[in-house]
Amino acid sequence: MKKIIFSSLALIALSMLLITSCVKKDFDAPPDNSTYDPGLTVNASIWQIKQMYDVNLGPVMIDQDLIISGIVVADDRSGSFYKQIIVQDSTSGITVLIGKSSGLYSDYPIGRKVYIKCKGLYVGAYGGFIQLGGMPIAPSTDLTDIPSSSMNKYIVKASYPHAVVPMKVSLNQIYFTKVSQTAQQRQWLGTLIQIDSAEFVQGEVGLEYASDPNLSSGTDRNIEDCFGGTIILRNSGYAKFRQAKIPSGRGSIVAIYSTYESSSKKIPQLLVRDTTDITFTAPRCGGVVILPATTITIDSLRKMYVGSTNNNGIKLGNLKIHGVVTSSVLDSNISFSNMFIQDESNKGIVIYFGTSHGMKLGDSVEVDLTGDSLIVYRETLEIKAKSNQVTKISSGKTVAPKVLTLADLNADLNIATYNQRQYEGVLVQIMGCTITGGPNYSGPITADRSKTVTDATGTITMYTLSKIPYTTTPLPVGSVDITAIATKFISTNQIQIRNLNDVQ
Amino acid sequence: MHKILTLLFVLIASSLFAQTGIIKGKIIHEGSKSPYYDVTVTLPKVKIATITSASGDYLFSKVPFGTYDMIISAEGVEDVTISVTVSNSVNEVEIVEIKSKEAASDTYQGDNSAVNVEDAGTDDDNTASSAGQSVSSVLNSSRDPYLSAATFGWGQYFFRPRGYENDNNMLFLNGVPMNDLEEGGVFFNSWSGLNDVFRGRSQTLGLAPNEVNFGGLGQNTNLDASASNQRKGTRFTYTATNRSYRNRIMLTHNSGLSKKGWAYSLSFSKRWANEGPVAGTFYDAYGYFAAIEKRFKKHGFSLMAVGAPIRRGKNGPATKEVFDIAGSNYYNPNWGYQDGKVRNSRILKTHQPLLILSHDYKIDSKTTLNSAVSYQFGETAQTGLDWFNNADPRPDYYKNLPSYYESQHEKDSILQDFAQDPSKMQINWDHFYEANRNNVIGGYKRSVYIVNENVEASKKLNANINLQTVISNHAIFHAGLSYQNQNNHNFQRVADLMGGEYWENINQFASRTFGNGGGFDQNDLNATTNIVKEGDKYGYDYNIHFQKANLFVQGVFNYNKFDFFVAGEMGYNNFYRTGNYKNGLYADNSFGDSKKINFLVGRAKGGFTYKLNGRNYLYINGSTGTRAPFVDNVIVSARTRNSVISNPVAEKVNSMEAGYLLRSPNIKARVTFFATDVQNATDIKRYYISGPVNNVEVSNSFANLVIQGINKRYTGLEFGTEIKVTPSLSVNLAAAFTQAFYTSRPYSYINVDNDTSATADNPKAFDTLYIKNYNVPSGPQTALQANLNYRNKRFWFATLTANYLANNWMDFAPSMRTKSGVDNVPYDSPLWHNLLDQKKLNNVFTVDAMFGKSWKVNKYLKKVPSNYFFNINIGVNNILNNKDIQLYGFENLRTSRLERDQNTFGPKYAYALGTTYFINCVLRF
Repeated sequence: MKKIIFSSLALIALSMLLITSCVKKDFDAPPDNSTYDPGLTVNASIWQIKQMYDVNLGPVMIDQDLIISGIVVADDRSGSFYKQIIVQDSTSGITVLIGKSSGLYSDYPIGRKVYIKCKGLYVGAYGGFIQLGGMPIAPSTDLTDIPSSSMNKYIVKASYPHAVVPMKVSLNQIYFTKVSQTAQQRQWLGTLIQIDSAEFVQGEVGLEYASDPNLSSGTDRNIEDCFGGTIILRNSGYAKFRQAKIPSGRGSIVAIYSTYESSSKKIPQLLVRDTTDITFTAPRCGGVVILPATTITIDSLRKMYVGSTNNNGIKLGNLKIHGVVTSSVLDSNISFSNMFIQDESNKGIVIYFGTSHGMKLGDSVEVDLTGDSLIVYRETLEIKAKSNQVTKISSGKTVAPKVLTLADLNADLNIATYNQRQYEGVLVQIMGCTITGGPNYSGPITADRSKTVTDATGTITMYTLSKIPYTTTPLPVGSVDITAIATKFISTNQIQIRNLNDVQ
Repeated sequence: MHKILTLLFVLIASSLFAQTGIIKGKIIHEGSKSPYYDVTVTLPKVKIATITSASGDYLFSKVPFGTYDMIISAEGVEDVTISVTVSNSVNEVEIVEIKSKEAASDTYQGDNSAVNVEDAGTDDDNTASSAGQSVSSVLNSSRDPYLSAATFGWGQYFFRPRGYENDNNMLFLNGVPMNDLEEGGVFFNSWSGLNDVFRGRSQTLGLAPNEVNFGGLGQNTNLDASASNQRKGTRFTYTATNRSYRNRIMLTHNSGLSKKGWAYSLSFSKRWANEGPVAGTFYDAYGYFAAIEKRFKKHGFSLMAVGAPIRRGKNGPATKEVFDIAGSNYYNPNWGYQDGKVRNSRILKTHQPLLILSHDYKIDSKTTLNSAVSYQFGETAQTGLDWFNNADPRPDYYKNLPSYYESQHEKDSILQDFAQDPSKMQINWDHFYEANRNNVIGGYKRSVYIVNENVEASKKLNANINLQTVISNHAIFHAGLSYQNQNNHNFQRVADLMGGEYWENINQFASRTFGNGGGFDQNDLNATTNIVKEGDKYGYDYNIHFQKANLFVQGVFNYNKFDFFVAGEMGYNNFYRTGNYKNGLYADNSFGDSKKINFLVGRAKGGFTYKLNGRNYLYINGSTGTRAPFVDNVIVSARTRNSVISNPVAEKVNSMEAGYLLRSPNIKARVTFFATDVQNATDIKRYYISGPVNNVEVSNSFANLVIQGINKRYTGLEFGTEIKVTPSLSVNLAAAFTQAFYTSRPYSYINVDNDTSATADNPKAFDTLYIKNYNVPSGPQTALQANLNYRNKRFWFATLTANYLANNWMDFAPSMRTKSGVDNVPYDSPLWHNLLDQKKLNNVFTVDAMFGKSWKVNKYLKKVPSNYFFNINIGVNNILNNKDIQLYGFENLRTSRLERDQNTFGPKYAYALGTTYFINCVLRF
């Protein structure tokens, strides 16, 4: 018994001893160095560095021990700037290219003072906007990024934060053309400026700041003042505020003064860091009030087109529609610039964007119709969109097809008054029909693309584009059920499948 | 019926050969009275030997009348000789009790193996590879020379017997199944470091019968840690080593069985290293064990509690590019300096205490009933970095490496930066603090970098009951019923805000794709706030519930010339997910219970052994049946939603083995051929994708590649022999020639996480995987060992071992082996082969040596009682200091055809250490 007690005690004692004398656990926080300034000797100004670049000679390497210092006035926090920061001193501002795909603001946030050891870096330009970066890789004359592994070597952090007061200017002062860009303006480029009394042009109010980056990497929006001055606001498609809506009011905008040059012209432009740079809350010039767009059903929209004559169409006001995409660009049986949508009013319509819209089958979308036209194109009602004002809300939605006989469908499509057609642009289903007219769904010649679909009540044309897999897939033999979009092509009543799954 | 037949047989036999008789008897463990199997019983005079069966029974027939010395020899135990007289046709020998093998021995090898397994386990669990924990290594020596080789020589290099995944190996602790219901494998960390009390074990490989359970296809291990089976006395151990940890102490005291039938056992261990052999790693682990047992005449009750709190900083696999830049195969990307001190970002913390209450009941001399209830609970947490609106801060992130850049100039300047300041190849902790402190939003510091923890808190309840009854001299019947219930709570937790004040609980990928309107970016739509602080959950939060019930029956029959057995099992499996978050991407399909998945499975096996004589045996075993898939391969993406794959199916498994066994006094040998077919398996691979898959556009999302219809074959030969050259010198040879390969072209499809339309019912990118005849990545498929073992009578021993391992195939990215994966790649071109051919890891040759000696302390210090012994064991592994041993490797699943990306997203490897040693000192009394 003694032994038991002894051993137990020994065990417990030893356990306690060992548990307390263990390996280190929690970490201390390192000291806060944000107010530290290494105090490097500055021997050049940003304007001096910028002047080293000559557009005719291309990028130049800085081979002297030049050190500049400035405050970061733009970083990559919002995604508006990508792999770059802009640093400004009392003379000018310059873009610095750094090869880190995000999070530069964690090292060089807006308001941080930095020293830049310029020796070994290059001065170059992108679209006329002067940059500091790494050696260009021939044949390109674009600067490369300073590798993130060496950014701290070139760009030395100093104290944080510092406020930068933007210089107040009027649009008049910063407007230039290729011939008239002044030395003063060149020096202002790359710095933070503020325009007090500005607004977005009326046609852009309510739109997104920038289009989907898959369509274009950046979007130009237009700012005006009350005196007829204008300037472009260039917004990145990768900015987190891309989908924010353009405000309707007037007020002040803080932005980086920038330029975009091609061989033919120089265009001044503004770059904002985030939407907080724009405070347009006052009434617009002249007191104009812009109402937000109203949502209407596709049924109401179609009814706006009165009559049966093809006129120049109806210019649409401040309207928008919601619906589910019933066409599939990915399945190649529709042009990439067209889209059918259908909504809860059980009506459908085709929208022609003139460019790729990026929406997929089953996406629930909102289309802003402001400025668009409702027209008749080859005897079908169509929206001709002024720009790509479509927003995806969600995806994976389905639309139940309307089950119809061909007799009923043909009767409907034959109605002369456009706005009385129930099924034009609608997803329909024809049960128990046969498809005839050739070996495959489609083929290289025009005649191959139209097939005849017959049910007990009548016939209709099925139109299919000459694309794989339609040109190589044989038509089914026997009775099938077809799901398709009902359309009209001049005088022909048509149905158009989305993909081969529509034929069962 | 059997009895009558047997009687008839015996009568006939005895009438025909009146001068011979049968000897039969039983051998049991001294403490627990449980059957002692695999014990060799020899009658030297007539040169016959046999081995006890699972029930501890042995039988000799046709023994001429007379008196014999019968030698009973169990592994590691001194031989017991008893006298037997054959004077009747049937001669029953009294039950012989012998000490449990490990408890009685000086098992020097056990310590070595334990060091190995912890070593092997260091690297694997943070990889996407299928290379798993090395199961075999933890197991102790068996008398089988092949198993011994697999355990000591090969296990540490991720050799897996027969190429089986870990879920085919089963482990029972005091009769309770320890295999995890979620992953199938055994979580050895639960009791690691307590080698002293987990010595009692028996082990079989393959389809041989097991007395408590149907058993798996591979290794079946029964651990016996009951108090009465522990060797009486106190034991203090100190180990110095350079494998994963550097120091270990163990203290154990066992009471032995008192006259009143009580026994208890206590054990404690600590293993630690401030810095392990790999830079940035550390080790801080404890183990505790307490067991008490009370034995009555017919009943025995035993209670056991065990746990092992472990904290260790891990190393991780990396690409060849990174190892080359670092100039070392032991580069560890997981650590960096914080205020000048080393800090590891990947820390494993686990503590899962286990309680087992068991009861055995000898109903009569022939029937035993064992039952047990166990409960295990606790948390395993793995830390990692998380970040918001910043680039991946891990130093080996592909965009930080030269291969990502196109121009030589850029590549060179990065290399130069790394060379000038090697800390750039490590994590920059100070930067995290700086960034968080400077990121003030609305007056509060919002962390953009944090340390998080991926936590699994599990509760496991187990109840089982086993019956064993001897029906006749020739037949034993086993039956078992078990029920397992497991609940795993999985979530992510903020561990360290690193100077910030809060973290925002949103889904960054969804936010990037869908913007911050519409709620898509919400991890939990039910939450009232997205502000989370240290200790708060975020990201994902769900439970997985499991139930499993099993019925097992088995009959084992032993006859003079042959043995056979049949066994059957019925199992019911049930599992489902409960989402605790309403995920913004899957608002309708993430909160609450998923569909409940049920599987009814069954297996049958049987075997036949023909005994040519007492030394030569031929045997053949076979098994067939079905197996439920694991939850991981049924629920598409447990972190986000309740979706299950559309047709979960049970795997079909057929297996056979046939072999020859030789047991002569000086040569033991076994050669086995085996073949196993697994059909209809399912696997889900999860990885990040940034570009289109099979022409379907998906971007910036985790994707779940569901692979169904996988058929695999495992076949090969195993050979092992132990040749006693002299009584003190033996030569062991072992070889494994395995082929584990795919025999079908499975089909696959992708379910993307960051896409509201890609539910399990609407998968994308169907594709056939052209992987027929690819090797299953299951460790070295060829393994050879030669071992010299010298034991001196003066209590010392030395061993020298050479190992050779080859055909270690790398895990491959399935999506590359598709039509779209090689689209536009010229057929049979170098690029084609570079992309498709399965890569092999380096062949391994190692030499290991071990030495051990034992002293009786009072020979030197007369005052010390005579029962004090001191042992020293020294082991040196990989004496040739081979630093190119790749433990495992796997292709990046995020893979691309672009030439440049083959380096960027190149395969990752993990390397075994060079020369390692351990010095083990034991004082026992």
